[in-house]
Amino acid sequence: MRKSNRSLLLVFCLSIIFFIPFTVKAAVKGQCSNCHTMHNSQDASAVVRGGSGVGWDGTGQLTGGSLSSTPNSYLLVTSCVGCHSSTTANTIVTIGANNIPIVYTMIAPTRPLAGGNFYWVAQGDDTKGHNVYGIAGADSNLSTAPGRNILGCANSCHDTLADPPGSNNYQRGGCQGCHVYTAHHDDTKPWYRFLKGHGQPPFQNGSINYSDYVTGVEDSDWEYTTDPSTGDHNYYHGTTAQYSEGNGLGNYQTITAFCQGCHGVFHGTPDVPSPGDGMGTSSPWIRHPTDIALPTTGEYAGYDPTGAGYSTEAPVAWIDPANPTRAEAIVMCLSCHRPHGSDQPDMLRWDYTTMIAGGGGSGGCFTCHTTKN
Amino acid sequence: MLRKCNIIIAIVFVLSILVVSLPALTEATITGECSNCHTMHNSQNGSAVNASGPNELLLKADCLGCHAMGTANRIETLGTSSVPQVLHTDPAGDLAGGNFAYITGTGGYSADDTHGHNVIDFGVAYKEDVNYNPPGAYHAGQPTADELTCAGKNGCHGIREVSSSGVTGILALKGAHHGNVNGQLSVADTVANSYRFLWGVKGYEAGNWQNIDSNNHNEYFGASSPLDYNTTGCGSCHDSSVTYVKPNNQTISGFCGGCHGNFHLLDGIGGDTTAPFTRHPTDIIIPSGGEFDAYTTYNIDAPVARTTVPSAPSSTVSSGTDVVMCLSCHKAHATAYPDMLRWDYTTIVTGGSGGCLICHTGK
Repeated sequence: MRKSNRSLLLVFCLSIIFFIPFTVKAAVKGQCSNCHTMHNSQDASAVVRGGSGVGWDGTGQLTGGSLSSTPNSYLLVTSCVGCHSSTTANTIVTIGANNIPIVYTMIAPTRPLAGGNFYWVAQGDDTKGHNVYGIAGADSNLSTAPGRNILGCANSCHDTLADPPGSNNYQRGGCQGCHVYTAHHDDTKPWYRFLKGHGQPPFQNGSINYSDYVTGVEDSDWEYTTDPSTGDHNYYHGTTAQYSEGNGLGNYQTITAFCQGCHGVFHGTPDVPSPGDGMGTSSPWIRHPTDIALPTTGEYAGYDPTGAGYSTEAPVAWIDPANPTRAEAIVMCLSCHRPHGSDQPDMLRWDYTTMIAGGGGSGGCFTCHTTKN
Repeated sequence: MLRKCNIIIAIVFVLSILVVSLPALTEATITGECSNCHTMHNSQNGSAVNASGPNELLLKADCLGCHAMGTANRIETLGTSSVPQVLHTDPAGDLAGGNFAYITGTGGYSADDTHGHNVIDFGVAYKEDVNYNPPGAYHAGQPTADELTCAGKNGCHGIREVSSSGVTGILALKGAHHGNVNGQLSVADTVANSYRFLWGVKGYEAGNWQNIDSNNHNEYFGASSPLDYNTTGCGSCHDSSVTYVKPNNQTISGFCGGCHGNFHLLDGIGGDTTAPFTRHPTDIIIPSGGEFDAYTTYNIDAPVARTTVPSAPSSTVSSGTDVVMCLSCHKAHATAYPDMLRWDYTTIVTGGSGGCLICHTGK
């Protein structure tokens, strides 16, 4: 009997170990020369590639754009966009021991990663992605981030990601408008997908150590493959705490609080800081709520995102991403949107025009709103 | 009698002082029979000593003739003279500056133009085919692949006078061998008292021309910042009249920067001495408080420079004090690896060891 108990205990422990998401070391691997050039000089030629169209081809070579005699900071062979782009449809480029996640493919991606893909917005449909410098020009429909509340911060960071690095965005245009700080060689930084803010006041001494970063558990292949039955997906961080524009990210470190940095009107208590702002404090909401608990009753009881029931189409966040429980599932911005871009207007994860109430469909909105189909 | 003794004692006393207090000037100067290196008339027993004709300075051979014999000894002995070899097949390894056999293929060494400086003294067959101008040249007019020599106006060793009267070859080293100083070289105002006859470069010369281990090696001189062309202009690399090339800050990296200025001058590395850099910096203090703190024992595969010229080699590396230099990654003559690196760059992978990771311990 004692042996049985020990066996049961062992099985129990092992099951916990295999179902708890764990942090995988994500620091870049491989040869230094994959990403760096010491002097921007090789065989009497520059190495740095700049301009539009830079990306990895199907043979693992950086191509496109043009060679530039101007070296890059950090001795990089190309820009953020260049390194995370591909001239193929592949969304992971493998060079030796290095797997590079691709967020912009110049051919329609066969398997977009969790954050989505800039392909569609680069093709000219501004509704299908964030317009990031180096990928797409300024949004033709929007002059500022939808739902933006200035809150005393008047520079262009919160207006557009399409501006080049300059004095109006702390030299962080484009990708670094969201991924403000990066740590490719440092696994000790707790910043989920390098989503770290600028600190308060912005970019002062110590801002890199400020608490304004997103936490969560990163899927090791950026959701190139997913399998909810084995827990193979991202685990986002959410909260039920109510917050408005200000230091939501610094205080709660959720993915939604990060989005709120530019789209603050869409989240928070009503009329705070300005009349008409916010989503409300409880149902009935005035805007689709985020960073609220996914109720366990009513129609929402039909969606159990723990274990195999997790929908990568309509994901949830968790109060404790390392220990997800049904009661702590949180609705977040990314339950409906892809942060980079998608094949759908408004960067949605599904075709909104097919969401027909009473139409008997499934998926999309109906993943959570299980009785409205 | 007493007076004679006193005189003798006095003489002995004075001589002892002289012997003890004289710097080791005579230890480093070339020694041995004159005939080891010189021939008065290029004639002996009815034959020419040098079949191709007499050499300047009455030398039996040119630079390569003495220093690139291609034998199995990295230090050759001529009579009682020890002569360092920069081209050899000694299985014990190379001297600190490297081995040109990696360019010529002597002894079956893996050879390639990318392995070293292709000095034309070796002949047209070994001339650089790809880089016509020095990589990172700050301006036109620097020695081209057709011109690079061991010494002189188009070379590295000796006086580098850029004017039309500048000399090349052994003439640029006139007087240096016989006036050579080794050990601590903190003045470097002549070729003889400069590090490895690199006129103007300070440093500490290991007596056997080798970097052997953490306790027995050269000591290189570095600075806390390369000069800034925007501030010092032509004076970054030249004397005030632009007659000569002078090493920036008298450092070994500043010497390299004389030809490879874009790789070294402040505006070439990003404009200041703090990260992020646009090119790998040299002549900056290795930062403290991060990954570099773990590099504490001198490694001859990634040597560092010092901001003061030491009187003896030290086995300690101190972040916040010591300096990264060109020779931290490269050898000056030639190596077995492309780009004259000290190691195979293709084997430097994150999570591994050696090479770049000797300093970049966190990667």
